[in-house]
Amino acid sequence: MSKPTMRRWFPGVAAIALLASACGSGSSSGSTSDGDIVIGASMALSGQINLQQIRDGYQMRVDEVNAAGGIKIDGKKRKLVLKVLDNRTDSNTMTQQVRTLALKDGAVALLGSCCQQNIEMQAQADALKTPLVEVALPVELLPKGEGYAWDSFQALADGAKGFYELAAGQQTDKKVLIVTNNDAPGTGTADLWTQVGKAAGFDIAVTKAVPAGTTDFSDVVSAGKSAGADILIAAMVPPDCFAMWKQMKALQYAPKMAIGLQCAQTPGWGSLGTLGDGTLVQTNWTTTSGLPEADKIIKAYGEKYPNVNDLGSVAAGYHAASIIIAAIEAAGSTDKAAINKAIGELDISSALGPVKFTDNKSTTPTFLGQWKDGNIEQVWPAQGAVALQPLSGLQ
Amino acid sequence: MSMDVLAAGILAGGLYALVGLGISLVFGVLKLMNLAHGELVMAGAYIASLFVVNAGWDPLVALPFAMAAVAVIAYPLQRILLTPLLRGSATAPLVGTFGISLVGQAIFQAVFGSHPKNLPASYATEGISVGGMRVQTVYVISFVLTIVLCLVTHFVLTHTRAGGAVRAAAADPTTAAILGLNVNRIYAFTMAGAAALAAAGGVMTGVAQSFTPTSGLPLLLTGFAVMALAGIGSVGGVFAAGVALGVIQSLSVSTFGGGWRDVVVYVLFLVVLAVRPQGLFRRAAPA
Repeated sequence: MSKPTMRRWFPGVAAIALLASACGSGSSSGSTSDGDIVIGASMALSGQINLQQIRDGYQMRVDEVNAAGGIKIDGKKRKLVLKVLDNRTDSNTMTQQVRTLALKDGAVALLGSCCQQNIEMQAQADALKTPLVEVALPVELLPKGEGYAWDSFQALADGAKGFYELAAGQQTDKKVLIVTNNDAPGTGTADLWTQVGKAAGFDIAVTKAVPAGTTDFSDVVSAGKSAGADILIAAMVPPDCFAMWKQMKALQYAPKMAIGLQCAQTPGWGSLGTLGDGTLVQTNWTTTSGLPEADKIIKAYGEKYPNVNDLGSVAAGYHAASIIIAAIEAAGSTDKAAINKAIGELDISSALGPVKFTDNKSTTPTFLGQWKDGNIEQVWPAQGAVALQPLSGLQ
Repeated sequence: MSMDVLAAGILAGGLYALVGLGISLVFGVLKLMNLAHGELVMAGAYIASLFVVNAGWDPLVALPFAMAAVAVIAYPLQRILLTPLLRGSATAPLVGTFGISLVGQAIFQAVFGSHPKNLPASYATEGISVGGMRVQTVYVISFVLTIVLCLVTHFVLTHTRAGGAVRAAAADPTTAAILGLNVNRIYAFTMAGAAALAAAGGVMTGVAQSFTPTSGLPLLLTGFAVMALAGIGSVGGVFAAGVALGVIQSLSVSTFGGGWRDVVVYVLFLVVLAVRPQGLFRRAAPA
């Protein structure tokens, strides 16, 4: 094509392209006024974390609604479209994707990722004035924002109270060794569990903070043995706990109770075999919890995810999606501000338990589970619990 | 600091030396910073897991098979992909190995999942009492293994024709090629040998600790620190540097607390680089 010909048609093409992009950009009422309703999610599905279980939970709820014909808005049923993007556990990618979902793909609401990404996503939701519902972030960790990020999950403090309540009924010397990673969540966890432990009458004998990636815990083990601590609270990334548990066994440090916050919650803990038996975990869901939709989730995903942690993640995803869907129905509109307002006024129950927000937070029940033969059994609270077993793996 | 902690640091240093040896070998011969070395370590762990977890083998029995398998993977990677890049710009091989690192992580995650794994063995959780000190059996085994592999590597490099060819290609690849040595093949065999050493480190890491698809990066950084401390071209230096790194870590944790571990180690690392850039165990080149 000759250059003069290109110069003639190029401006026209550019104008059409600009017009098309303007029509396709997100408006506050969704991608089209009576078409499918888009719910977006930028999630870590590769890289350091893989949240496919939470994504499956999101999709399960969306599929249920669509199978029933969709959501009724202004007398017309509209289907839901769940648009999930993989941010490869990278925060910069997450930021770009959230903006794309909200501005270009017409998402009327967003679903969260996990953990630190949820904290970072809140700022984006506020800036884009797009409601964001998160799980997999303990409610104490949600920063104060401008009201567009909503967190419905368990509270760390509830787990601490439950653990010490359980420990009070055991034959221990009430001396505690707390070891955490030395990042902000780790030191925050140490402070919280120290405070709750002291209030419950326990002696926090030793507190250690180690960098993530530590493989030699001889110093920590030595301190625990010297203090005679019968109770161990570990809040570290899973590889650190793996190394520490093996070292404790080899160096003959045998506490009577141990909980692995974050680290023993991974299904990979089962690969430790008998060494991991008896370790406690704080979890948001168990198969015997009596929570709504538990049977449905077990039936749908029990074979794909035999581990309780993974099924709990599916339940968490289902829970978050249910909140957004309920809010859209209550708002009767795809206007983002209306949906956001409706979330704040919800009073429902879903897969993780009751949902009623105060200051953008809705605390769901906490459970303590114990590893046994490669799976987790609930040991607290009493409803749905089995008896607490000795920490056999380290004895 | 208790003797238990010091002993743990010495023994852990053996594993660091094993990781650093492969990196040092590749850099010394190919002048290549292999950013995929951590993934070669992980490949050893994952391949061993196929034998250990699926077939019930002991990790030490699976170890030579894992070493051979990773060497077989590394040879064509070097021969076909990296050697042509070595002829190009200085940054191309670096970027190439970074790309291999990312691909490796993606493959591990797709095939094995992202949950942590470990290689079960009775000696992973057993200890030995020696002179009033209690140490982990697995680290004693890995320390002995490192010594054996260092001795074998040193022997091959200094007492065999193949080792002579490697040293010639490292010293002057152009002249070596003129003299009839197939430098590209030497490079590929060197990479394969380094990969086998990495795999051994991966198996022992899997037994003593755990591994995930992204566990390679911290090991890569440890390996670079060992290589930089040791200097290029000294197998014994790498061993000593690895042990020194382990001891320094234990000392710093015991003295300053766990939070200062990395700060102390890398400050010392920078000091050594500034004062003795050739490494602790190499003489400076004459001016």
